[in-house]
Amino acid sequence: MAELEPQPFPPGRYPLIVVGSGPGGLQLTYCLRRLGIEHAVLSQDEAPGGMFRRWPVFQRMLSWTKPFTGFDRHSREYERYDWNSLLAEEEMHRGVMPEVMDGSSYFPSRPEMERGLALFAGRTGLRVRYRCGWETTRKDSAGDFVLGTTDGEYRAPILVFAVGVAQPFRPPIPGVAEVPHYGELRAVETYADRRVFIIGKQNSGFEIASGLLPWARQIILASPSPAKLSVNTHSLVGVRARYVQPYEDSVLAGGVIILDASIEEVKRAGNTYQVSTRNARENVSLVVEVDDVIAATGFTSPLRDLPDLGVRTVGQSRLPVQTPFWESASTPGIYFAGTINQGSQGMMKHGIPSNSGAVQGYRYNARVLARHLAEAHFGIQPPRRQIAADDVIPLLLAEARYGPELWHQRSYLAHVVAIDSDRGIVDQGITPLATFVDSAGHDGAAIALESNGREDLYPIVYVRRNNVVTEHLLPPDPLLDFERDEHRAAITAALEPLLSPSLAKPQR
Amino acid sequence: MAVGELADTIAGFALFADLTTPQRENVVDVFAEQWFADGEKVLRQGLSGSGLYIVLDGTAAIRIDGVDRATLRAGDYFGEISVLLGEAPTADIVAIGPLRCLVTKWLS
Repeated sequence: MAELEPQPFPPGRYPLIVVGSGPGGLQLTYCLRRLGIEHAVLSQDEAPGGMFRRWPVFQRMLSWTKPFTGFDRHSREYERYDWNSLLAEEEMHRGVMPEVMDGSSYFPSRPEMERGLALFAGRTGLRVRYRCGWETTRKDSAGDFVLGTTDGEYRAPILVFAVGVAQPFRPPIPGVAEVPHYGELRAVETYADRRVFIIGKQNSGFEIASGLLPWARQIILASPSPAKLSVNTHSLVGVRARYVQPYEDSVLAGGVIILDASIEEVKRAGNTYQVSTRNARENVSLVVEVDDVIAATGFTSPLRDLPDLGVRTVGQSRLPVQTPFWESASTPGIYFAGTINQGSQGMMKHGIPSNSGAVQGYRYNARVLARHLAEAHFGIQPPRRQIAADDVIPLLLAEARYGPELWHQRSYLAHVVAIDSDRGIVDQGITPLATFVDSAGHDGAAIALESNGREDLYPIVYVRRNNVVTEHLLPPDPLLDFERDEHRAAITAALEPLLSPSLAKPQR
Repeated sequence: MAVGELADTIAGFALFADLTTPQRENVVDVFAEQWFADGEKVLRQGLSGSGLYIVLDGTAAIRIDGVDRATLRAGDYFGEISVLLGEAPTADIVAIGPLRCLVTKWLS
């Protein structure tokens, strides 16, 4: 297999370089190859899979793949139910994950995920220079970026970093630097009959708490804000249901304790720890004695020296700030793919972020990014089809009902049709919603799905006319069928000012 | 930026002047930090679902029907009417130069 072949992409100059071989890097190189864009892919790893070669700690994904949906596993519609397979143009390469899963859970195991990614890379012939670690970055006098790697120097005018967000982050709290981080958890049996303090109430903290329920004597989870649950936020904000058991244990007084308090200090005292906490709202201080402390305090992206090149970052995770097309907002020519795409915030409607942190979200970003790179830097214009005015409403409603991009990237990716005075009505395909809403351009319409954090999701149509954008919420539907008469009536009314002149014009 | 640094930054804002440091850290915890490039829209006139923002650094224009009406600076906040009443903003807020804000995360 790959090990027997000579390593591809020797040091030199390339039109574009992708760094990383996790799902984000693999999806992007796949899409770039299909568009005919010459590029190199470098990875410090020995094999494809990125963080899924190690994590999650308890060896099962949080993202599901439903085997039985009524849709062919190689169809586009199936992608809504399969959060883990990478995307392919060829039907035979779609829906890899259900093939490798053993049926014991609809959440793939970590080894199944790793195998699925490797199968995809192998079958689609993706080429990666493995064991080639990126170390330094600079710009030369010709305007190229220069990557210093363990194999030598690489040059390219455009770089895409898909290096994940898996570098442990510890907040600057006294004593926290000395306690193990999420990824340094010992074998679970070594926690038998021990009191364990977990700093952090996100999924990683609750994942560890869930795994230690059969072992630890007592588990305390603490952070300043109350835990949010995805079943309440109607989004991926909050702890996923898979890991909610410690929460139930806590409210039923089974032994798990959940504290809304900031951690002020962790002090070693012989074989135990003293953890000082403080609830600012009620002005209550509490010191607890425990046997173990684990920092489930999040991750940052390993950007190395990119900030020295002007790449601006934001938030505790130090995510690079990105444009809607995932280019550094402060250093042109540097793009990002994979879970780092969280740094392109989108419209954040109702305070809900995109799903760009997860495979099911960023796999679509990669396809949009590849097309953007093709158009912006390589003079390649992927074809866009003209459509008849009568087909606009059926197309948009079918996208709302079946379009996986809209389902997985709510209020973030949209399906756009433009009314071009020369070409008539053009199907622009999937586009970042913020770009459609915020840019001047042809009259047109975009359809997206939206969650408001309280109720079922619903379709929403944005109409751009003379560069003024209006929004039109379509009704929700208890069976999630957005092709009913009421939806047709609502979208017809919303698009009437846009489409009536086109309907009157003969189609060319 | 870490929670402690953000809490220190907002200590200078009139809105939070009466709070203790732990209280300010609690406030910061319900916000996310966001950064906007020059010309980028923070709020959009007529579009629902926006949040409450506090300017940390930089300036932003209040733009109604394409006309700039006023300027926002560090310590100013906006979007509160939309959050409280659930109505769409009546103006665009547009970054003038690099702009750093806090924005409310998902509200229950």
